Amino acid sequence: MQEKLTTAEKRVPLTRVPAGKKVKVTELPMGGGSRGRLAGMGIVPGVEIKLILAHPLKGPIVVELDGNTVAIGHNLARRIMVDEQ
Amino acid sequence: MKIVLVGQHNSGKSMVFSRLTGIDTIVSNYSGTSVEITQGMMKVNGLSFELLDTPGIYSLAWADGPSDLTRRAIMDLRDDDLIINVVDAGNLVRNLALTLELLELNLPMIVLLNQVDVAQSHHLVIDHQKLSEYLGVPVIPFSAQTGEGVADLHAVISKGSRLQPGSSPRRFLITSDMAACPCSPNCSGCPMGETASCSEQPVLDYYQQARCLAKQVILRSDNRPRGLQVLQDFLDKTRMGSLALLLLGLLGFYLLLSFIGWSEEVIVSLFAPIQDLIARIISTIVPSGFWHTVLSKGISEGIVVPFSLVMPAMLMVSFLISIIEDIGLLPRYAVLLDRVGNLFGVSGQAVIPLSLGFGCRTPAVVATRILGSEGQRFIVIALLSIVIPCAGTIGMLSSTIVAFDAYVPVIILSMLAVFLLLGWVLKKLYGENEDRIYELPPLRMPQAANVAKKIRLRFQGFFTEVLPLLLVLSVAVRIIIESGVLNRLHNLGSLTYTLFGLPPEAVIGVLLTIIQRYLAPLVILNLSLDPRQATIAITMIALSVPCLPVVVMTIREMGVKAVVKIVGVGFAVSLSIGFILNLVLPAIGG
Repeated sequence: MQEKLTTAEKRVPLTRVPAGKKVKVTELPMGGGSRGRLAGMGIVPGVEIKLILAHPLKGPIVVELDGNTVAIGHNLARRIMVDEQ
Repeated sequence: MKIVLVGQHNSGKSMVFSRLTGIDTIVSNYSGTSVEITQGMMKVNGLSFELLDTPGIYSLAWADGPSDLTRRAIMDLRDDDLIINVVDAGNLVRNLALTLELLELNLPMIVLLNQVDVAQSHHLVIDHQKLSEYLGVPVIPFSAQTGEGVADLHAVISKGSRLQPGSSPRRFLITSDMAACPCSPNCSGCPMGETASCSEQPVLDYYQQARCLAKQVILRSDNRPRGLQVLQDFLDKTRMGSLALLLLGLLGFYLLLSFIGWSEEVIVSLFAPIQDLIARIISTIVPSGFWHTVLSKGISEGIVVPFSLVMPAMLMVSFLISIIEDIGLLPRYAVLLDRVGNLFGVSGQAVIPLSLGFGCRTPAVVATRILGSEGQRFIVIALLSIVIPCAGTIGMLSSTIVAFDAYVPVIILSMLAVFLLLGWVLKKLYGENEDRIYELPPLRMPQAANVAKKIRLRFQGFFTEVLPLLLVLSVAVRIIIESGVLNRLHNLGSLTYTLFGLPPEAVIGVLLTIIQRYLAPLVILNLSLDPRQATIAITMIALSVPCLPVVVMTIREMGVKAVVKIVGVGFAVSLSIGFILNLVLPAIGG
């Protein structure tokens, strides 16, 4: 990604986002069925999601979107890049 | 004309299907309850229509697993067929995203705004007429629970007009509502979608449009959490929530085991007079001798054992699982156990078939379809078949344990050890590091009628399968015992004693597990074993090959090769655990 980030934005993996923060999804891992399943739930680059809770011990990351709660496995969340605002 | 119910996961299609056809289907509060297409007939003003209930689908572009069945069913539709799009009123944005996509097919369509009763209780008011104008198809407020909207649906179907989408909604939204939408569906002009790949761009568009649409048709909503929402926020959004779930699970197991123990005593004492009666009747018909002993013992055991040992466990497990399902706790346990699943190379989702297995393993095998891949399914079916004790098994095992004073910790530890070890080996062979995504549905109050229906569906096997089978086999086992065949096995004794420390009769009991795991204890209960021998025998029975119904189901789901592998592994596990326990048990304290 060669976009210019504004100073207020920081691109990080979803696993590094603190609870309660709203972030914009920028990159999803390529290939595999998970990209499709995320897309089916509306989690595609460009969408805003809110991080609810990161379960300890590399557990799932719980996010919220349009009032739906979705938990994303740590291994997948690690490869989802988001912009913190 | 064919009518297909299509909708997002957990939008309530199966409930609508039940309401419209009168056919009992299993409905639960988690994504992926329906993994097959169910067919039924729907009567509208004397005319019959074929109605199909389909697995939930997020998007036609991203259909895998059971959703692919739905996609294909939709692709097979002809121009005079009808789509009934079931939309969860409480989850409008995601559901409308699919609606917009379906409209592009230009097939006749009706939108059912389902669960409006729930939405109303949350003070959510949706302008369905306005929604209908936007979409260009009829929108009917509906409740599968109360039956609201059924008459309206019938009226619309029998009129038959206005079902064809008038204009493409995408075009419609772009031209008339640009101002209201923060995003144009045009790739280059959209500030939010600049990093989306071209295949995902439509999804982003559908969602953006659905958000606009929802904003315009939701007249009033109240987002203040109340009642179950408070509990849900606690469970999903706090770390203490996970702890609470864990404690609740342990409490459930404790309740189950104490119920089984308590009910057995009660039922056995209730059946004592019936047993006497049976014995007396048989005495009058059959003169004393071989057949008298066989029948009087065989029949009275064959009746008491299923009722006292199998029935309570089956009932209680069906009850607990139905409640957990209906509240919507299963996916939450999946999240909780995700980290355990990592050890086995399966997703936490595996908790759904695995926990269903504690009820009955046969439907649990079917439920593995919600897992991502064939590899994962094989791992879970193998663990289910070999390790997980079903309700009937739990009842039989616990009674055998009590009868012989066997070492409970040894049995439980062996089962856990095999579960972990087998899971680990299977992960090395078949596991893949699949990505896991869990949807957490809103919590719901379980409906008594639905819970009762599920208990009935899960329990009906008791009278049609368990009771007759146990009765017949109980008599058969008696014939074997009384005929003295087992005594002739004594020359095999040296072999079975060396290997497992068990008499050959007990090993026969273990081999009987191929028919039905809970039959084996019937043989064991008639032998005289010391606690150490009983511990070895029970552990071998608990960890062995799948019962016949599971074998049949697994052939259907995974093919013969998979079953041969699982049965082979099951035998190997059972024999090895017997051999190992025989080696180590004296050292522990036997």
